[in-house]
Amino acid sequence: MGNSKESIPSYSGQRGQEMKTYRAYQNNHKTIVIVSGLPRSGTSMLMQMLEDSGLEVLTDNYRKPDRDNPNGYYEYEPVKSIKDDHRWLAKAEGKAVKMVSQFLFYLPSDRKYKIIFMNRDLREIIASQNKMLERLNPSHNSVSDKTMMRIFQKHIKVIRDWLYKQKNCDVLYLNYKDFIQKPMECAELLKEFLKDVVTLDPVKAAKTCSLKLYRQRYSIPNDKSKVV
Amino acid sequence: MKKIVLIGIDGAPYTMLAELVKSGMMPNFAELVKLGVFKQLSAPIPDNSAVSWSSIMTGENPGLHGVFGFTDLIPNTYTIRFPNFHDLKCQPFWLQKQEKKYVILNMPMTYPAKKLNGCLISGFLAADLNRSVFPSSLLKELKEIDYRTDVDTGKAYKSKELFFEDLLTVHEKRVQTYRKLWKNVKWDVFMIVFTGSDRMEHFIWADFDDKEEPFYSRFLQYFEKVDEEIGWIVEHMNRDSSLIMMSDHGMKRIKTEVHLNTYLEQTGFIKLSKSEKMNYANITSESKAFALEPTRIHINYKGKYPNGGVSFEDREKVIPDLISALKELKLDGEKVIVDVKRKEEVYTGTELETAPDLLVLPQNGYSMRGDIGKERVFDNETILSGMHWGEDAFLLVKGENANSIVPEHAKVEDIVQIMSRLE
Repeated sequence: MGNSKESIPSYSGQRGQEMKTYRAYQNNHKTIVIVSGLPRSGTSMLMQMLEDSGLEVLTDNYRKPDRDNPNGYYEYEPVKSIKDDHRWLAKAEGKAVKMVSQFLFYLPSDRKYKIIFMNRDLREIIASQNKMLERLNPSHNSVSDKTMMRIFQKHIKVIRDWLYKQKNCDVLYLNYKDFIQKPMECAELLKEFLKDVVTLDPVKAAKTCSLKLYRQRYSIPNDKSKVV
Repeated sequence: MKKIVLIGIDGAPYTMLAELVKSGMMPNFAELVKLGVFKQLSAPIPDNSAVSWSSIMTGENPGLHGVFGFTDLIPNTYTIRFPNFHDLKCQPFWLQKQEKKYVILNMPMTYPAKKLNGCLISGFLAADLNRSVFPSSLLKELKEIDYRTDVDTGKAYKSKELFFEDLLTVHEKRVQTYRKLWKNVKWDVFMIVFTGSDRMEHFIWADFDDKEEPFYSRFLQYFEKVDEEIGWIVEHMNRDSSLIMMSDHGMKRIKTEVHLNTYLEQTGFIKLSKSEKMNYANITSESKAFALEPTRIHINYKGKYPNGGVSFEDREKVIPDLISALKELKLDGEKVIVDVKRKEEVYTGTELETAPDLLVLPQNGYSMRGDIGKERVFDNETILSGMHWGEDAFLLVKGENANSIVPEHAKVEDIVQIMSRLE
């Protein structure tokens, strides 16, 4: 981060002009806030919190609210095409957009991102998914939980390693369970993380957290949450 | 003599594999990408498995090997038949150099199995396991483990989950079989083709594309399993052995299916008689041309077809208008067909006479169909979400001087020559 602080190499003539234009493009481009994580990790809830507390969100309401997400999914359909077309990112400047973690690899490197990555107990994610699938397809045979767990764990490790190496990404990892149990603390963390982008109202953000969404919670003695 | 190992992954796109490498889902393959040459590979036209695997195994274009699709017409009729291994007009590589010993497992278009120096188990479209195996002594064990040459794709129409379970079952039997042959046969060239990939991609490509659970994870799970086998094979290879990996085509998302014969009917190139069940026999002598799956156009020549209406001398009166009409086909203002090629532009060889007269090159997302009697040209009610894409097959070569052996713009026909240069 901090491309604006790097010194501009002293190219002359047309090349120098090109470099200056490119730097100005990077500096003048507003940061994009990305809400990410695995599916069913609480990203929709986080999007709603950000919207309610003062950050504009980019969404097209293509997927309507339902029983699994009564307040809506906060998705933006062009996100799914990011590997072929990322022109829509211009609309996301200064706003928050939701992106499942598998698409993060396709973020172009000529922009700046603040990524809020939601961690959630993988057992809860899988259970939430299975519940949704049972509702949509009662005869659904669930995919082996062990298989899903293994694939998710592998993915989380790889995406974390990858994010660590991205100089144009600031990343804040938050735990879903903390949002439910300590919403004000999480809201303050969000406010601090996003202070260069927007002034968030943490009180409004905390209010949005709804304990009703936490349907698939496991009771774990001594809070030994296996969050990856 | 240096050993060569070939691993085919039917329908695996280069771009998808690159994504899976990046996302850490195929670590064994990723290691090979670092050590070898990994690039895009072009499939022939049309880009279906029958044509492409025929080119891979013979090292020739369809104008020489004579297979132009999964289906063809019995000469002088409008009756559909399914070309098989006996229709190949060129020798596959394992019959070109018979001093070597070969194990060929699950290669499409090798049914019915023929004698070779080694052993062969046919891949799809194998109709009868009893005729899919050489030597026949392998049959007993295959039947004991309930080996199958293909997935039951009918299950996908009932439930994706049922289909996926069948996919994994067939895969496990395939793995059992190839590993046993690997250990028990003294081979010089070993080839295994994983075909579940193509089956899966046709039905759940959209889930992969959109990262939609749970089938996105199922998709990854299959390729994890393929990667495990890649790891096993590499671990058990001799250090100086060479490895070639390939697919026969890539895959793209279907926007809509396109019924070419319906369009040809609307534009006056086909006239069909009516019957309860429509098929190619409904083509009348007023028809100038018709389409065969997936992208082939045949001129309805007199003397070639029972109701042929176009004399060979008049072909240049028909072809330019046909090309023009096909290129005009649009959906919501978007052109559906990128180009239309004459057979002479695409093929060379002794089989040009039987080749389709024109080849349609579709726009990304438009899956061409050759059905007769469909009401609408465009139809997106299909359960399928993946269509073949010939420009995105993959090639990986690991061996001595691989960099200088692999052509810059590699085609599937180059694989036989790559093999001989790796020896």
